[in-house]
Amino acid sequence: MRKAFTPTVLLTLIVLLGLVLSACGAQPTPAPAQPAPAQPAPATAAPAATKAPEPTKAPEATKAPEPTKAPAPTAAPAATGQKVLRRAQSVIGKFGDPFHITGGQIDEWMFLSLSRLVFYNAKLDLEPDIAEKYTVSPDGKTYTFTLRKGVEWHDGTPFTAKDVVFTFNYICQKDLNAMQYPNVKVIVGCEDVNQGKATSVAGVTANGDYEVTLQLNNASSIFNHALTQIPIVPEHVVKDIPPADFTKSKFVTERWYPGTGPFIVKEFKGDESIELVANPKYFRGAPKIDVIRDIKIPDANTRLLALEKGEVDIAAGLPVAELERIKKIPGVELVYLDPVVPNVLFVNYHRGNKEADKPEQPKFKAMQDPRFRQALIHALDLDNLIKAVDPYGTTVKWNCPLAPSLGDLCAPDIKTYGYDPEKAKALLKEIGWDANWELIFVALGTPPTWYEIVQQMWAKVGVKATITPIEFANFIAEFYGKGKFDVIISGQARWVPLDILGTVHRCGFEYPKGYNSTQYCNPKFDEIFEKALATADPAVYKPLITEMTRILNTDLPTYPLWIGKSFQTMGPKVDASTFKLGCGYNWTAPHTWTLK
Amino acid sequence: MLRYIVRRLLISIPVLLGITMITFAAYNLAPGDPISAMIDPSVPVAPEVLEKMKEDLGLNKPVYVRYVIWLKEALRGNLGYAYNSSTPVLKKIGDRLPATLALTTSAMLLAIGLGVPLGVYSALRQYSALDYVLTFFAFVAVSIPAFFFALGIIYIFSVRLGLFPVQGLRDPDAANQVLDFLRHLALPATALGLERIAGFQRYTRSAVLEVLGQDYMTTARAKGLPERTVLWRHGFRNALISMITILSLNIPGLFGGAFVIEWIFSWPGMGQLAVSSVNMRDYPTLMGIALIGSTLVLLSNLLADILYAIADPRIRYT
Repeated sequence: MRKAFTPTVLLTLIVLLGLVLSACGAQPTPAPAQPAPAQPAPATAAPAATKAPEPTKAPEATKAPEPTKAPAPTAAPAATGQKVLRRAQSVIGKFGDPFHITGGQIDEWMFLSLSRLVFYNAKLDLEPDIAEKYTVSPDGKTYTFTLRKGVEWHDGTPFTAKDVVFTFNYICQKDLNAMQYPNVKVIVGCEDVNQGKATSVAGVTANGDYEVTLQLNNASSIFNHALTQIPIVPEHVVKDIPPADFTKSKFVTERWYPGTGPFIVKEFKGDESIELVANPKYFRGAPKIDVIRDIKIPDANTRLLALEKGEVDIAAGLPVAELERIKKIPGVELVYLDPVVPNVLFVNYHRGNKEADKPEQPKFKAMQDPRFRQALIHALDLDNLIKAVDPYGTTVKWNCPLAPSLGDLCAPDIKTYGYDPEKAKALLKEIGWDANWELIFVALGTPPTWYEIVQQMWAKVGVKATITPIEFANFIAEFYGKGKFDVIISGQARWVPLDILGTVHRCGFEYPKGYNSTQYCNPKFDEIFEKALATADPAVYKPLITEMTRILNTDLPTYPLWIGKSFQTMGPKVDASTFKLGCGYNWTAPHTWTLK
Repeated sequence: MLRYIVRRLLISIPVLLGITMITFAAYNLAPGDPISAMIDPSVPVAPEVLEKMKEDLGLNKPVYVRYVIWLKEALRGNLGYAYNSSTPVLKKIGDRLPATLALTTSAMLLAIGLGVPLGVYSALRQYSALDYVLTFFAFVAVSIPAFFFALGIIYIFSVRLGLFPVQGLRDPDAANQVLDFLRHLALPATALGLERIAGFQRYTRSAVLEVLGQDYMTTARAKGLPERTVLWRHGFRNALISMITILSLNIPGLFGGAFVIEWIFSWPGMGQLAVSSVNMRDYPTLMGIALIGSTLVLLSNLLADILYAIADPRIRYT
């Protein structure tokens, strides 16, 4: 053996190899010739359901497509003098699949590059996006959209009604398993396509290049919501992707697509960073920022330090505990997001539909009494509890079943079950509550510190609660599936009333049919819900929503306790006043974002 | 020696198989499922969509069936697709490995370059003032939590002094990409290297001290050999055996990444990938990481055995 093979030499070689590889990897990636749409990722070049697959073609899901078209506008590296908005995010990877938006909320990134027919404003009314205008027939069954003329996909291909028709046809394909399908199947013929009885959706028709008609089997208010969640995709790209292969296509894994939105995806490094450049031909006006560069900084403290040093202009999800420090950073502004996720008390009825239920037991019988729920709320000193939850003053009491932005829809006579321990004790006595009975007080993930305060407050009125964590990744099976809880306080988005109120409160909507975890059932509530669901007219369904809030406030299957504001921290370069929120978390006009 | 290596490699196959079985079972039997991890619990998704997602990912099949499918594909070189991004696992790991190698090997070089000489010096000057200082430093270094030290040096050297970037691997707008990369590397490598410097210093010190008391060292000196030759040829070479053990134990870590440091510095390496994959219950990625990690452990053990023979000619394998 030769002495040259010492461990030090070996290690040096490894180090050099690593440094070379990393330095090479660190070179700026040349701008792709263009998000070349003409060559998508498909494994087999066959449009879903309308054309037979070509199984002889080898899958090419990981091979870079060969660009065949000229570069689209502005897909170039950030040059000196360009206005670059740098944002620090905690997560990057979970976005971009237009049909599997796993977060449930419309994804901000996706709508930076794709457009919808309509979107929600802050009051839950529809506003036109790529549709210039739309009409709904008096019976609520026919939607007619007039599309904007002269709109181009990022690769220069004209946008037409065919793209809209294609998108709806694609969503109805069974193999796609689109998240939007349950709310879209109300379109005439959509279910037929899904079940393989038809090759195209009869209820979706193009009237020329700039008008589309959607015919529904019945009016549906939830369809309005569905419309705001459907990004229109380019037919000339997606038609070659079989629905079953969509999630593995480059459309999703590399964001290799043209859109019609204000920004063009230039470089996507999964779970690490994304860079978008402005689309100067955007139909609502050219963006005022040239480049958006989002990077993943998973640690909140590091995000704050990066903002403090000026390495990023916006930091998302900074800890509330650092609020005072953040405010002291020169030039920093806070933009409070519309709070949409109140912390809600859920009390299980244990009606016998779940594995954990024993409805014959006296404890569970007592829990079904509304007075028990009232007692639990009366026992909570919310003012002091909120101080413990959030000493920084960004959290407020909230008792309406809907998010504050929809406060107009809350019943004006909604009751506040204020702090009154004596009343709580009296109510518990009335229902024969035994102080030895124990409540399973479930927490999703690590129980927050305030859980113990709640536990103590309940103990003071004679309700013994045992804090029981359910791991975050296990909550569907344990919480919804087996119903293993008596009470829980957990965040629940309440900004799409008909979607959430129905699935959480309707009779028989326990998992897997829905998410009625408490097994609440009130036929009166269901009747009103069905009426609201069966209309597309906001003037009809909005008062019905108000009536539903009243019922929930009386029955108390769930009861919101407080709501916290989250915020985005804008650095000195950012003109925070140009960031406008729509309903929920959505920014309504990214093309107007401005850097100072 | 060659026969020995071949035999060890053959033995490694069933060992590796056993490791993958146990790991696969552990991941899949642990509480939680990828579908739950993918969605936002505050916004219910239609259950029928979730059921179909489960079916598409093959999660409705029994664990042993899933293992056999995974094994078959792995033998063909296909480690599957990451659940949350649909990216091939091998590509995902391949994208992350260079960054991790750069970070961990730099930290290792720092550790060896500083830790070994300081350990030798400490042993040769046992109970001197500097020995006490170095011992104190070593205990402090191993006692400081990595995240605390990392945030501390970011605050001082990045935010306050502005010498280094806070996070990341590169600044795409930097004029000199290599220099920029080294600037980004400096703080995480230092944070990661600190504990290892202390470790190497302590291990070297005790190994050299042990050797210094041996009879052959006295004999070498009695023969009239210069002190330098006695120390480096007779002393250090014999102390190398235990150093090789430590080094070989560190090799899998070179590829496995550093969870805490990569997380804090937003260094896109294997450690960060592993943490995200655990949070997302991304079994294919986790299995890919486990397979590569366990292969490296087996290979590094073999490498250590080979290096023993190189360092000490008395060691022979048959």
